[in-house]
Amino acid sequence: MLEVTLQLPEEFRHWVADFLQALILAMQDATLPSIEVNSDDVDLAAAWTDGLSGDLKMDMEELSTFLKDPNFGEGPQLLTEHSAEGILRASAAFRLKLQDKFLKKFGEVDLVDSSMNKSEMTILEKQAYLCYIFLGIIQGTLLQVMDPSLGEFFD
Amino acid sequence: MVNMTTAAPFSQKLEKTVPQTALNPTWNVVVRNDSVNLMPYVVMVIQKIFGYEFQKAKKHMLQIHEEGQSVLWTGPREKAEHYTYQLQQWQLRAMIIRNA
Repeated sequence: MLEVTLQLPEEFRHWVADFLQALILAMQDATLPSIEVNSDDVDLAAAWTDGLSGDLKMDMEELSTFLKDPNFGEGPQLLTEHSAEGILRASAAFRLKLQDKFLKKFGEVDLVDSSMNKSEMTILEKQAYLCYIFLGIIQGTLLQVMDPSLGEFFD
Repeated sequence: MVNMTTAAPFSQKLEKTVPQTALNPTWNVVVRNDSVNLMPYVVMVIQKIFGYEFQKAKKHMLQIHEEGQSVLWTGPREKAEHYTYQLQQWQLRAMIIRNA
């Protein structure tokens, strides 16, 4: 079991969890980031994308369970490695989707350094960016717990 | 490694559609850069799927980041497709490209 602790202010904790849950529901049928299937075989391509969609749905459920945990953002949460991996993948899918839908006009450096002009962002863009950052924090926290050798990336 | 038991759902179909001859070409598993996935995340995924050592996985990640793409593995098509599927499960921009 992995022990993960995210310390978040109470108001933010509730807001971000609710917002992400709403997004998970709203995007349930459209969460798959665009993928390239190199095959002329229509059946194979369909099986491929259906498989990925099903896998992603399960990953989203792991993320949803993680957000609904009473200890979320407050105390330690115990996760199996399987759950942690699902949360990592769902967070990656979510970040790709948020970037594609709401944050495309910002460059990679802007998104990493938060160097975009915030006063020119719409409320929706700000909310999407907050979730984008937050999901990155979840990923970073999990990665450090799952594999301490990745610590050099977080110094 | 965790999650290596996830079988691609199309393996049976591949057996029917790919003729197994000595002249079969090899295929490259390529990952292209994206502006979203975190560097340590990409390193971990490469290690997990291919079993590469940390430094080798990091080298591939940096090549993806700096040059736009990296060939992570080369071999028979069926296995290349299996790896590509797994990489896409982890939300990386993976594809297979036939070796010239």
